[in-house]
Amino acid sequence: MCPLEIREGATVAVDCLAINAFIMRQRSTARARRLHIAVTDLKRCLRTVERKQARCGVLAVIGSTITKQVRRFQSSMFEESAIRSPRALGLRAASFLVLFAVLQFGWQALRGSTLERAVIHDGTVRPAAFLVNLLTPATGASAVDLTLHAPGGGLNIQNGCEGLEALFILLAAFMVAPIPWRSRWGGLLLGCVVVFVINQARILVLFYAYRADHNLFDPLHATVTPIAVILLVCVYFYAWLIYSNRRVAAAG
Amino acid sequence: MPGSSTRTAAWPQPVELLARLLIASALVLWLAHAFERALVEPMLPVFSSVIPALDDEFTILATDISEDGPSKAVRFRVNLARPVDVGGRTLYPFGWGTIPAGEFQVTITVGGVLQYCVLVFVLIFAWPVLRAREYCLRVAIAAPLMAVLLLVHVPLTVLAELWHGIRAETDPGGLQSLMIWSRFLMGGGGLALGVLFGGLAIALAARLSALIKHRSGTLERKNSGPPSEPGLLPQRMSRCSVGKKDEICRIRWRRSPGSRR
Repeated sequence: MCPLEIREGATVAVDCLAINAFIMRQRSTARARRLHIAVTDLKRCLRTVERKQARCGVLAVIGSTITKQVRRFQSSMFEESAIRSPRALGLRAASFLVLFAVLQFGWQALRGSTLERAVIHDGTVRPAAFLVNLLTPATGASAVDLTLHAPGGGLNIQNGCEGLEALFILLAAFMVAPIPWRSRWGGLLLGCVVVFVINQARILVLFYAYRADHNLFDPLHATVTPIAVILLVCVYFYAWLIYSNRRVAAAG
Repeated sequence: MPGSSTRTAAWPQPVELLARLLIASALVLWLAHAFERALVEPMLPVFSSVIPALDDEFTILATDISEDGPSKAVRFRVNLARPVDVGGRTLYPFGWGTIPAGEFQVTITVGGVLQYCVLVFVLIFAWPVLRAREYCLRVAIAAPLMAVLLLVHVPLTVLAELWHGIRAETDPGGLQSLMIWSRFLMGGGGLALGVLFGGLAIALAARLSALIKHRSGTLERKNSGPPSEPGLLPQRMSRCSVGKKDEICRIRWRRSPGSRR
């Protein structure tokens, strides 16, 4: 729990004992020192505010400097407690699985629906056919129903090949991640584009692999590309977390 | 920092993580592909004994690895153990009375069997470590998790496919809980579990490694708790010398300039 209590616009109350106890609970010296620096900065700002308060004889309104320090301190507290606490992590992991399962079952329930057809045909097969024709115009690929059709070998895109499972994993991860809501939605929006691009790349790899050598298709389809897709999505999510944390720290 | 007792490896930059994942993926995937038969074959007796234990309506006749061109698949030959009532109809085993001999066959590609374990291995080898022993700890922690992953994947998928085939004839509209689970795993649930288990193994190994270091007496830090008065901040943390197990390291406190007694 954060020992800092802030009533913006009125008073700033810092429980030094609680902060010290919090620092003591940190198991690493590095972490304790980081927090110590944050607390020192915070206290310096508080003293400035106190002096101004004494001079003016009125209740100080928290200025931008102090708010920045407080936010930075809260952010470090949040990082230390929310991300590294095993209980919080366990809860997030369970929420992630439940959310993913709900999305997955919801999508399974839509099998055979117009939405499924729209996602697979319009959202997956047609862009793939366009890309194939763009890269190799001689191939003559076309989107026929749920098939990427081409003379010499095409691909059947089924429910499960449209990359939505990667999107669901990303969505569930963003929903349970300890980041601000604005950053969450930004990450999700960009994530949709990232997943689409990754999945199109996967379909192209499978398409050309099948045409080049049938023997390549099975290991690529069953093992390599699902793992590659999920790892790339993980890297994107991780990169967004780092970026989001930096932005929060930079903003204050 | 050298003075910390439970420090963990620094979180890598995304580009560094991507490079590590690429290298680890290439290595683990190559090893899995090269030794897939050797890896999966010892598991077959386990699968054969787990499936009837989970559902005694079925008996496993044989389990082998079939090769159809370049792709290898684990093939389960199954029969009903006794007549079963499904959807108001009785289904008899192959070879029962006048019923001709036969069997159900379910195949899962070897790559599919190993897929989730490969993902766990890639993660635990790609994430940076502080001490080399953490790799061993990660593998030791991940091993039972991967066993769980394999057991909730292969036997339950086989049972789901068997019941799906039977119910498709006898009770087409019926809800099949095993099939839901199987579809969940194949629809990305298995990969999500793999990522979670990989992360769990990494986190637990880091904690365990730090605990081992702490217990071994290389470094022991016992704090006497926070001081009773407010306004005190840690000045520096003293570090215990190697081997002195009973020495207590304390944080020295100094009064912060602005605090009042």
